[in-house]
Amino acid sequence: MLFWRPTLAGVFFIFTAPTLWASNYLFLDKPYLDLTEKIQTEADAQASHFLEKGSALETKYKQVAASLRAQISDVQRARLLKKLKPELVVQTKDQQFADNLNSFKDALNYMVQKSGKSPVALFPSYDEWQKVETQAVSQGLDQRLDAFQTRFGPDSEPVNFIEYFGGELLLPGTEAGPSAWEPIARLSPVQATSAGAAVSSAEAGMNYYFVNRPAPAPLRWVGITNHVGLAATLQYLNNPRIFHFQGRPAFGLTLHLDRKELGASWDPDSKTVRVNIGYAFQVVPLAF
Amino acid sequence: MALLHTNASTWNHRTVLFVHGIGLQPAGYSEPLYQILRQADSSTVDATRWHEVAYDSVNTALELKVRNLNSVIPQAGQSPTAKQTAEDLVVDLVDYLFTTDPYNWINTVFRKALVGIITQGQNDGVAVRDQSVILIAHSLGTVVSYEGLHSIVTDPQLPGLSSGFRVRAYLTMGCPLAFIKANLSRLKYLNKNFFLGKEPIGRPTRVDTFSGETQSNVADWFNFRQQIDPVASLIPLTMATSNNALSQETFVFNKLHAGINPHDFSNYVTEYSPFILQQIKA
Repeated sequence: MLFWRPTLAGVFFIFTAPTLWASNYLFLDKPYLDLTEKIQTEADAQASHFLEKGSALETKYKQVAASLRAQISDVQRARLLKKLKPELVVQTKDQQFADNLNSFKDALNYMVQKSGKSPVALFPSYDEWQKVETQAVSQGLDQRLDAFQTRFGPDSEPVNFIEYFGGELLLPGTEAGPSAWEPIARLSPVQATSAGAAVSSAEAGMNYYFVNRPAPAPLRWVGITNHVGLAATLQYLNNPRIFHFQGRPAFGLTLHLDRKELGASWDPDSKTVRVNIGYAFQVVPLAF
Repeated sequence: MALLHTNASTWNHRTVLFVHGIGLQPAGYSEPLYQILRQADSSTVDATRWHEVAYDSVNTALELKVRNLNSVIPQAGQSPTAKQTAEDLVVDLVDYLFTTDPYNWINTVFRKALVGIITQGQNDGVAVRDQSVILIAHSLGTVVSYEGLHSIVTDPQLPGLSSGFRVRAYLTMGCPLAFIKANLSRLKYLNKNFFLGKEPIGRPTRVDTFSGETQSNVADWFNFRQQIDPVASLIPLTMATSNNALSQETFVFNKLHAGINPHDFSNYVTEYSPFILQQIKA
């Protein structure tokens, strides 16, 4: 294990991470929001029994409850405007909503503790609320797992060290899932070209993965479901061969469509546009 | 997803969750551990639910995705076993400890396992507050579970602490937390979410906004160390190195129950099966 450590230590030493810890995500669907409003009504009815009138705790409860109610209304309205299906779980990052929900739950726990009864005895919908919450969280976590699978699973493009650590450095994901963007910075070893049999290409660009939503319908119709990308390419087409980098450079663009590559380059020798196709099968190890 | 065995007799509302360490750990890897405990007390084991966190698929995906991780590995050994072990060391450790996405991915797998446990209980009419979870983690799994428990404690939804989820007994075996903590300062790493990197070792906590109490989602934390286990012994996790987060001083033993490997998960489970069963029954 020791052989790689100095190298990696050096690589990590130059990196500094730009992101901060974020843990304020919520998984929201309509049934959960409806039940949260119902629980709030039940909690309001109990609050006067356990929170002394005019006390700091009562004031705090009222503030938290009002704020939470307003936030739920906002989310419900936004869902209506977007015409989202009621059962669709949407992952939301909202620090204030998260804090209010935590505080509201703290208030419920406080009342339960004071009463010496079970939560359901005070708030009849409590267990149903928790069940619906668990379902929403479970669905949301499945969405996150699917997103990771899209970005790093077998349908994604193999990457080299530079692309991987470059992506982790410049475009890191969050707790909610990986970034949709992945850098392309590679030597693509084999591409068929209309200038001859095969050529190697240097590529620089970006891939975009469909981690947050399915690929658009037109792409799905042609079998593209995982990612699309665009890279600037450099080839040498005067005597096209694999790993041949002599002569006049030919520049072009290559589309990445899942793991398929389709591109065009301007051949300065023949003064024609050459078409290139390839596939990220990576039998030949990548250059980096 | 992570269910190993459901209860064979009436459920005692206890669920045990295994979290594995480095190495090839396919689904069902904890079956031998379950069998060790079942031989010791079948009635308790049969009344309990058994789950496992299997995150090896994340490591496998990364091994396939990042070509160079594989291409530099053969230098580490010629045999397939040595190659696999070296791959696991590089991919599991480097990816999990130092980069953000694999860390978040494995955390999500861990969180999903907890939610799966809660869901199964709720489906049987048992609310989360009436469920008892015993978490048994080994090697890198102690780090995975440590990070996972820290990441969920402030969640406003389940399995957050304000929703009533707690681990009743957290058992760490062959635990490198103190060693990693002591050495993290020597490396820069990309993952700034890493709790072990940014905070002293301790139980996950949050402050209840109404009672003002600092609360933890871990009721009891017990650590176990084989005397010559290098992973756990170079810098052992103790009351001192854990900043008194452990419930009592680390249990230390010197027997080898599972061959010559002192770090083997089953070595620990065999030695401490009476204690584990006691925690389940408590």
